[in-house]
Amino acid sequence: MIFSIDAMIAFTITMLFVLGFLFYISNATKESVSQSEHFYLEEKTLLLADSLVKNANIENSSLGACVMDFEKNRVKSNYLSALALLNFKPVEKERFFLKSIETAGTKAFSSDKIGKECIAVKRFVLFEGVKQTVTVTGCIE
Amino acid sequence: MKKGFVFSLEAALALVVIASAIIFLPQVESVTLDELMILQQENDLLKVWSYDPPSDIEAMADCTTMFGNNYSLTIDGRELVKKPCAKRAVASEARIVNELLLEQTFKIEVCFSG
Repeated sequence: MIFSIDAMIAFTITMLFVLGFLFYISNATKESVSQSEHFYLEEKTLLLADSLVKNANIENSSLGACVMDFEKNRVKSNYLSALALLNFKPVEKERFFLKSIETAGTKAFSSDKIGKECIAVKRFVLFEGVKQTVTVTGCIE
Repeated sequence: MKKGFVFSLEAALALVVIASAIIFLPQVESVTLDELMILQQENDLLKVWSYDPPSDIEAMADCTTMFGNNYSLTIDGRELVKKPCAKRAVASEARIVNELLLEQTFKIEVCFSG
């Protein structure tokens, strides 16, 4: 077996390069996983907030708090009902849960669970005829 | 004549290969729903204004509540607030007919750095 200094240096450089490449791939994978978790949270919170201001749900107002227009037989989207404030219930799906719903700075619903990462989505509504913002906060465990 | 680095053809080729490998490493692309969120917020304003058509000042106040100073607002072709965007923008436009059957056109444009 022939061994030379040149071969050893070349081998060392190659190994260092491979190590750097593996380190990069490892970091990229971690970042990708973290981004997919954030995307999951963002998607669920956005969809829940949209459902809240576009639908009417008698059983759980967290899924739809709008007024029903029985004359036209349709939901008045972005027009929230005061009755809905009394009927907010928890929403959970896999690792996602609804943390809070705030209307004009007042918490209408709040969960005791502690989230690993949370985001808040602000929506603009008419609440019993008054313009207000509703903030929906969603978290992942 | 000054002494300098001398690369052999093999060394130069090896450097080119290493440089290309570094340049073409896979990049993690950032995906967010900021654009959709802004679009939904713009549509909220237009929807609420369709129930209760606002004055110019009310419309500006509503936009400021939602977007801070990061928006442009045009009503019936009049630019009430103009904010030039450095990068990208999301715009929504709606025609609203008020109780007097007068048509008004509202256009909101919000800048974002996504």
